[in-house]
Amino acid sequence: MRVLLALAGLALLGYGVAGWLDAPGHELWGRLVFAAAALVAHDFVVVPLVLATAALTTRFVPEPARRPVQAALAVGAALTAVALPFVIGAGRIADNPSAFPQHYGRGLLILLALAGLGAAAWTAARLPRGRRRKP
Amino acid sequence: MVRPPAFLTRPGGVRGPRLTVHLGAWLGIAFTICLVTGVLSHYVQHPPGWWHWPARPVQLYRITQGLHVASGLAAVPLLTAKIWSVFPKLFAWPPVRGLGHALERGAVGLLSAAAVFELVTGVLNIAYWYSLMPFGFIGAHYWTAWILAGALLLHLAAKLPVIRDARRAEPAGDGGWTRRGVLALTGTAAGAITLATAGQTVAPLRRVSLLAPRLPGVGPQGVPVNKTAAAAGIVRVDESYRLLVTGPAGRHALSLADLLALPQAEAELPIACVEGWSAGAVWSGVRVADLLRLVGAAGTGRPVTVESLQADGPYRASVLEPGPARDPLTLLALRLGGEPLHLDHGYPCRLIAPNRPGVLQTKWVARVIA
Repeated sequence: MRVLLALAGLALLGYGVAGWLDAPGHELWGRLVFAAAALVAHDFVVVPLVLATAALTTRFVPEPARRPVQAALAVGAALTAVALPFVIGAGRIADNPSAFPQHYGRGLLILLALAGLGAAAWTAARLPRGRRRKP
Repeated sequence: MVRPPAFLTRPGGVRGPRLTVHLGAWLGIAFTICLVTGVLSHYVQHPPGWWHWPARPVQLYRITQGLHVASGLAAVPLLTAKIWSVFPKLFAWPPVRGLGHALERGAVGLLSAAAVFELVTGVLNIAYWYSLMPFGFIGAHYWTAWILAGALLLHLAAKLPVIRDARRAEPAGDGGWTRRGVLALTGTAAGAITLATAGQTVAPLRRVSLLAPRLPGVGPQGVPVNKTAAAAGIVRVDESYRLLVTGPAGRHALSLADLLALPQAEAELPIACVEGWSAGAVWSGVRVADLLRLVGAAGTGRPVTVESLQADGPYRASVLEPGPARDPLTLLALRLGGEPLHLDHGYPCRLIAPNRPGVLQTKWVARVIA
């Protein structure tokens, strides 16, 4: 099973690399530089930031708010990552208003606010019974 | 050597093989959907000799390409969570223990690089942010997908024993987080991204999809546009317009009035874009099959080339396979929603055919050649 998987993997890898190399030199350099930059940005900036945020919130945010705050930050970060190219809007085309028709900055803020509200509601639900306000 | 801070390298906590295997399985499913639908879309647009793409089901390409973009977007938090779950291993010391270990780590490096590359270029492409990519998107995104698939299988081969034993490993909690809690959080992030974007093709979601790059219903005549007439270099089309139809029995030059005098057919077909958005619309116009009959090409097995008034550009012309060209739903549309086509939708006439990517629905048609 492992041998079969490895052989199939090598075959696909070889096919992909052969296709990759069948391009002009400047194209290859562009791809390589971009791939390296994207990997470094993800593995040495994004993931360390996630870990640092986790460590800081574990240290400084008290229960019962800790996990809700961490969850809201994680979901908010994921939404921001996808939204950012649209918020920046470098791909917008002046004469084509049907492409990217929304206010993406405002949309992202609304989604982040919803994540915050979710965290607040979850925290409230986790408060010890005695500390909850009576209805 | 500078030691990285402890919060980066500290293993344990909620992280462990069982969580990693679970996240890996989700990511593997998302990447498999992306690969299958992506290769399909690539072949539809750059068909190898043996390739045939049917005209039915009408909505098939709309669904496969919608899934391609949706699963790619949902994979963004899955990938970060997966790499987070094994991150301390990046700092393993010694970095390499023998040839097998070196190959295994090499495959992991290639896998991570290819995965990040595919997701980042995919998002940049649907945002049209081409200035950030110093290469052509299509070739890079397509070939890297095969590298990703190969590296993924190699990684599976190397980790199969760990995957088999993972059921037994139950890690300790981490600041209140359990394995299920982390999985629920990752799923929530992926689900939030899906809800925030899928309205670009699932129309009922468009009110909640605050990040959708397109909205069905928003655009000239209520249908989004990818390339405007101005961007294609088409300023206006006047009375002198003639559609040239060429076939074995000769050539016809048809004015817009001639086209409107031919039998008109109606078809409810989506514009389904490679970038994952789609919008349904009601088109009416002349069946391509009827035009082929005029020039003696109806009964033949010839493919049909449709050319635009556009002077150049990769999508200036497209080819209809013999079967789909003669499909009763394949039209040269003159009207959209009962009104003459907006110039941005291809006035005076455009190709609209079932189960076909938007970029191949040639606009401003000038010639039909069988």
